[in-house]
Amino acid sequence: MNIRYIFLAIFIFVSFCLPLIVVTEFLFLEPYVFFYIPIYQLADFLSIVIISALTGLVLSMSVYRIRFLQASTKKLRSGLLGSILGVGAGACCGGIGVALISVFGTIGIAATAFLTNLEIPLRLLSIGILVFTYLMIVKDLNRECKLNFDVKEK
Amino acid sequence: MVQPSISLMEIIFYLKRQKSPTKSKLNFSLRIVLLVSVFISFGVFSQSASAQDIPPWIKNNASWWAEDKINDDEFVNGIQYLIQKEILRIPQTQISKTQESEDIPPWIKNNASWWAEDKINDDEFVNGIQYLISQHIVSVDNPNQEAKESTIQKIGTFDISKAGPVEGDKDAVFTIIMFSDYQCEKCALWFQHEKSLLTKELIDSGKAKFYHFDFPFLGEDSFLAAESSHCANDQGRYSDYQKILYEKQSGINNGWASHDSLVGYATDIGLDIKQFDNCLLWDKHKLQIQHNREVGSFHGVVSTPIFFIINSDDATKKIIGPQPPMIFQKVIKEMELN
Repeated sequence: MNIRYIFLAIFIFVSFCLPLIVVTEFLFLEPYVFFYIPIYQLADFLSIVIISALTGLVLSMSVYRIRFLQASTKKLRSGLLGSILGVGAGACCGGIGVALISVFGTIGIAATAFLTNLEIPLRLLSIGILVFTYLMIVKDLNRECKLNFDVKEK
Repeated sequence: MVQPSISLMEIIFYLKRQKSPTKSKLNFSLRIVLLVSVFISFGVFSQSASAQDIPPWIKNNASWWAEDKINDDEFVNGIQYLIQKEILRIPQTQISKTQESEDIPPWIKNNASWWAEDKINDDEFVNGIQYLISQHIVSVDNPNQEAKESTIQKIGTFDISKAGPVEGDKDAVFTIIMFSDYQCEKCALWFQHEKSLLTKELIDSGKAKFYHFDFPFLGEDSFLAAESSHCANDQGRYSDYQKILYEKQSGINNGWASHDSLVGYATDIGLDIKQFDNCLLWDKHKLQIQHNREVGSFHGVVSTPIFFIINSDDATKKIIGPQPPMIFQKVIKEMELN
């Protein structure tokens, strides 16, 4: 077990989850630092945690594969796509939406509308992509790391 | 076609010769003619007539009025729109306050009909309307002027004169101000799930009063929804309509807050639809909402919902996001101790 990659996964999870729960207004910073998950938004919160956890897993495993097995960056990119979709979904009235609208004006409003109106499908798609990428990485790792005792030494 | 250089008096003389059989109807119209006040004070026609970018639908309006398809009220609403937009500038004319209104002369309808048919140009039409106003025949509120001259009601640094109606005891020590966009999901969730407890704990107990400010930033439908809430307020149903808006909230610019949907909600709660629809059509509360948004921007509102709690000493605390009532209570308690 390589402890460094476990820490990397935790680090990625925290660095995704923390900003996301601030932006989606589960963690408030003013007037007090206050963490609040209303029961009616529990599913929303859980989806954020799942996306962050999967992102941590997928990215750290991808980095391992790229570093030690010289694998392609394809799965890393799929993982990132899934994460970005998950992050963007539901980017309404809080930070992301306002930033999009301020910077891009009408296009920003259209983007915010798209991300908000399709929040649930996008989150599900994001989780789907991340789970698929995770399974593919596990499969690849099993194959690539398997010791083949039948191969004769030349 | 009359040339634009023709003098106002020539037009008036020319137009006055035109007779119309609809005079009796117009007599009636004058009684309704409209809200007092174009605060015309001194002087002679010091401002020249200006007609620029008159929207095409105003022409349709004029044409319909000339054909008696719409009534005088509706036509005058159109004129109010022109004044609001400063397309039609009201000349400053000496008018005695005791002067009584006269009838709308029949030639004005001919005038409107000719203008709709492009037989006279915009300037000439505008001059005719200015004549009506200057003679106190048609008296319309000038919202811009009204806005400038209305008393600014301030709580802390917030001008609450254009906010939604106050909830709770007007003399409550604390004031809670909410900036919200009807298309914002978090605002709707907060309103549906947290507001009732806040009302129970702080507003009904007389500790705080509550104002709702529109901060529409998520597109056209946000603005329309905000306008519609004030149109409902004209009929004394602000909170009922607001409740419906927050219940129906289901995304951004996806039709739930379109004109037709908003009229549908008004129908559901039994509002006078003609009045409501006219209010929306003529953007009656546009300036009010723009004003509220400016108040928000001035106070650093960049997202919704945002709340401000103000005490009697004008000390202000900001609460960002859809936070639960316990935070409001804590802030108020802290402000009481200080």
